[in-house]
Amino acid sequence: MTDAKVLNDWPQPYRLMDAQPYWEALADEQLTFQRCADCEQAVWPAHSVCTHCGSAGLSWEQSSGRGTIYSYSTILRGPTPVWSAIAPYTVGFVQMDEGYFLFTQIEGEPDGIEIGKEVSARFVQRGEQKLPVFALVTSGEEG
Amino acid sequence: MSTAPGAAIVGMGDAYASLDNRKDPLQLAVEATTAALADAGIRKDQVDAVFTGRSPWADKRSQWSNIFISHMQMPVTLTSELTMHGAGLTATIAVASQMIAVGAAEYVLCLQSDATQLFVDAVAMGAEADADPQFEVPYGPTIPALYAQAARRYFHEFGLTEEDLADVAVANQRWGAHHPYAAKRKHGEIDRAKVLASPYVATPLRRWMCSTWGGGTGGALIVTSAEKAREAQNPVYVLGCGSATTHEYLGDRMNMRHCRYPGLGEFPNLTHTATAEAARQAYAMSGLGPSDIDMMQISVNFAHMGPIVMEDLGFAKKGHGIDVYREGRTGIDGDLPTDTNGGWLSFGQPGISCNMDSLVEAVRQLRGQALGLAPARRPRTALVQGAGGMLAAGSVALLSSST
Repeated sequence: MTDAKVLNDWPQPYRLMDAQPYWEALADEQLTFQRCADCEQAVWPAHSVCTHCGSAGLSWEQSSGRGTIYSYSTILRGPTPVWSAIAPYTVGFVQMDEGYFLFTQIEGEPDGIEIGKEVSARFVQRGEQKLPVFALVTSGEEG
Repeated sequence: MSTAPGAAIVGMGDAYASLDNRKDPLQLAVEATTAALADAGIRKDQVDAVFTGRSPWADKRSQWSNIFISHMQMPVTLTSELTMHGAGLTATIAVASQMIAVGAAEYVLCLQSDATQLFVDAVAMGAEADADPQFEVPYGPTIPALYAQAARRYFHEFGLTEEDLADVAVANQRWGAHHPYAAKRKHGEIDRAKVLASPYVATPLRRWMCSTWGGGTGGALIVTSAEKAREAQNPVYVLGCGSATTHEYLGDRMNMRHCRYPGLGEFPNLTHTATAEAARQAYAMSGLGPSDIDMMQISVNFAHMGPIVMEDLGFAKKGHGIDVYREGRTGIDGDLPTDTNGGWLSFGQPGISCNMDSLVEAVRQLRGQALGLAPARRPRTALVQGAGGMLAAGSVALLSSST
């Protein structure tokens, strides 16, 4: 394998052990996050101990996959050939309905993307990995 | 009001490389250090400790500070890297001062060099160095796109526009057009229309609103006690220092629900940085406030960071930092000349050394030895703000030509 091959592939997540359940669930197109049994807050990214209250009582829950755009940027110049090939593409933070913030890709026409707009998750295959990306919720999908 | 400084910079050396005059980070570091030792009038064997920032992008070997003393054949009691990105470099001055204050060192070398443009495809490796490899890198963010998350929020919360960011780029280029080593010097002075006509790199940031990778630089500072500095020719006293960091990855920052530092506002937010806490510490230590500052060298890698840093340093209320630029205060005739080498936007970011370039520029201006433009009235007190990572770390040093 050459360096060029690596550069041309989708970058794969550097998996840490706390997040193993997250990656396994994604393979089945399930978007999950952690919640603390003691303070009841959502915890993200994956941890061994609650970042809000210090409790070790974290458990995995399934997310609704819905949220609103907190911030975003459309990239015109991709860092490597795979990204250049799909540019322009948009990355940003989604404020999930469960109260945590997920960094992700937001699909759709850049002109339609705005802070506060509702989005929902879908899944794309990137190399070996299935990843959640988000798209604007159209009025027909609401309710 | 100000307390007596404990330490001073008594030696400064700088070195420069370009596509036509290639030097690697080790060569730049040796050249800068040799000049700094000569400036301080000391031998390498008198240096007790060496502090650098993280490894240069153009020479990523770990233990770089120890590689340097090895290469120099210069045994010391301590080497270390302060790895708060660019902020770590400003913090080297603080750590040097602390060692000197407790008698653990007589002379400390603070050093950094880099030459990213000459050795590295920074676009390809850029975000991978500073984004979360688990939860961010798989989405292909670039460094501009991560900083743009803050720009977008800043626009949204405070009503700023691309025109405002253009004014920051114009102000910095006014300085950079006249500095011999500024990466964007060749473009001369620019206007708002030129900035707004440049293509987007990552919305809402256009090319002129982003710093560029420029050449290579090395900077070395010799720090000793204020007492010893009395014998020096052009001492620059360290009046105050401060630093803070809130995160490495933006995703961690976004998921914090509160922060121990009140200056950083309600969490989550992307419009306040650790610089606010760093500045609080530096002002408290020195007894100085914003009105005592004659000049600033700050970390504006993207144009929106100009007003955000101005606010964090106490020169404007949150959301109003752009007024400092609009009113011309940062220019050569202003009361707060800022980024007098062009800053990161125009001088460029040779790599991790960009904040050492800010320190070198401050020392040169305080000594009346500017390589580019200098205001008519030589500054007495300069503030250097170093930032680094994805809005991650901030560090402030207050430097003065007098005690």
